Amino acid sequence: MEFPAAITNLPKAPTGIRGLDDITGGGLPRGRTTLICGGAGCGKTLLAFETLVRGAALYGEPGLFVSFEESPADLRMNVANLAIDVANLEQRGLLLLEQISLEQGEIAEVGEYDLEGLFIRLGLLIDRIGAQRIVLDTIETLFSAFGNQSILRGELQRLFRWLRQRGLTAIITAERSGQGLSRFGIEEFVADCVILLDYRITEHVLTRYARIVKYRGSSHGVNEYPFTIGPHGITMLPITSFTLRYPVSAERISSGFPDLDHLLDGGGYYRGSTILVSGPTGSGKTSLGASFVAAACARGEPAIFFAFEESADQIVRNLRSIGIDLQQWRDRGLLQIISSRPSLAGLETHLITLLEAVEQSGARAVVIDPITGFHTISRPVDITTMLFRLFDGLKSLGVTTLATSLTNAGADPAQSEVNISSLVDTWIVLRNHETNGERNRSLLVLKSRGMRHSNQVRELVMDAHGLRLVEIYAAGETVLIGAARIAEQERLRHEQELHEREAIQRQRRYALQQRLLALQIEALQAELAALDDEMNAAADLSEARARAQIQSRLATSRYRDSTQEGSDGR
Amino acid sequence: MDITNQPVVPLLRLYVAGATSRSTRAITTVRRLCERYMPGRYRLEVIDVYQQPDRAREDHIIATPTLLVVEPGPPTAFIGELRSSDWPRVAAALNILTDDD
Repeated sequence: MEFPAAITNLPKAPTGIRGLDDITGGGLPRGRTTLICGGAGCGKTLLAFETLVRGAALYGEPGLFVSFEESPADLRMNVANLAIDVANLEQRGLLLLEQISLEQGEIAEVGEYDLEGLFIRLGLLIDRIGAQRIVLDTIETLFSAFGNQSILRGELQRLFRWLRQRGLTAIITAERSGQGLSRFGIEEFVADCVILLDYRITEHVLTRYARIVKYRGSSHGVNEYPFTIGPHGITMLPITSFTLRYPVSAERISSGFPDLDHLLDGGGYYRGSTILVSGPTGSGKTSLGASFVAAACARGEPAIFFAFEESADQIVRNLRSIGIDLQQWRDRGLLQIISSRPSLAGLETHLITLLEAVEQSGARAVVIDPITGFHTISRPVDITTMLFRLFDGLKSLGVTTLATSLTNAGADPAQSEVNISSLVDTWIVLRNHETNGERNRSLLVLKSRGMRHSNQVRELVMDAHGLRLVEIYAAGETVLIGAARIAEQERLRHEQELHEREAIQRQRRYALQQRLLALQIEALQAELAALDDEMNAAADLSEARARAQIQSRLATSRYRDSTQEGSDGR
Repeated sequence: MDITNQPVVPLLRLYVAGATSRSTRAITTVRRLCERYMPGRYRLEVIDVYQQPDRAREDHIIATPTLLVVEPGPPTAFIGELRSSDWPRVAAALNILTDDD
């Protein structure tokens, strides 16, 4: 670090162009010259023009636009569809458009010359409005007008020095050549900042890119940054935000589907999180998305439903059939359903349109249905990058996003979206089950960061009353769902009834037996009593008999005694 | 030796930038050229871009010195200090036949 102070305090002139100031760390080098290179139709002129106009409108820095090609009228026309009031700025003396035309009919170069005439004319124009920013568009025109390249190079070098001495923040545009950055190697001496513009067409869709090739004395983003030209001019979005610092919320918001909230640890999604719902056609993705936005609107939060497959009216109609009334929220201005075809624009344009709509509406809940529609217009790697930036952008806005993803029939939803799984906080997988001539749906919360969620597959039932989750019956290896589940439930109910009936019968049999036994016991006891009686009676009888014998024996002996005393005499 | 047979008096404009030695040299050269090909029969305007930038704008002048042959047409611009070897080209633009050819 030779000049740490200079590096950290390099003054910058903000361009006012969304995104460009982020990747340049605050704008173009103030009081220096920036070169914008690119092929025809890359947006060089617009980028330069917008920097000038925004500098005037936003920062009060008067700007001079010198075109070597187009007349001021043409320039005004080119930017007429941008939401910028050029005429107003011109009237207020903040903007001056000037054409320095080089058409002169026959031209011959006859000896030494310089471009002092240009310097004088520029100087006067600069002084007229006190310009702080200047654009020279495009420098090649000068080169093509003159034959002596060595004079021209020397003069251009002198021009850039002169601009710098006057403290002007200058933008020079240059045509890109095959080999170097610009056809005449201007970048060699206009070296403070070089921005390269480019565009590529993939799958018939055009995407524009900007790259900062060089920025002397300043750190800057080094990637290729896609940008769009829209009604608000140029918008550039950083590939990813520089940090992962989002406002993290512990607040939970309902999925609009109480049964699902229950599976998600009882509370629903985290606010500001990203939710992916993947599944095949007709598995209920859109319904899940719709109930989510409906719940947001019911809380009074603005929401946007981006539909890439169906029209807004179609969605409203279809969801009415499962008891979700989206129209009421549209009528109250809380819900926007923005429907467009993925193939209508490039990925970058979609990305910016989405983010702009969210920002302008202040939406707190967003549904993108589905993100897989982009596969028709772009390569998967570009889509992943785009989604990363999209989710990133929405997250930084604190928006809760639910994106649906269409999986091909037969493909495992848990496998096919691996490339974006790391971007999502909650991933819900829907599946179709075709058995016994019918189709049913199931739902599984595959992952949900930061909460204890259920790992159970549930059957998703949709009817006029809305969405419900029903426990699934597993029979060995297969889960029973739909009619099979109902049949199983019925079977189990029958079984239960049978059990109950059997139990009652057993009970009855037992009672009967009990009574029978009791009767038997009674009979036996009666018998016993009879026996007892008998026994007692017999005992009495024998006692009486014994007593009688004793009595008779006594009587006999008394008789004998009396007779023996008379005859014996001894 | 010079044959001047056009009806209009030739009109030339010389654009210079300030009172520099290059400007002075250019003015001297053009005067000599005019006197040689059309002695006394020409109109020459010397315009300092500093003084009359609007004239420079009208004539699309950014390089100096530039000699503009306005009449006879079509207008032709000679950029540079006019080496003597380039004189016949100026004469041709003025429709002047010279024995230099």
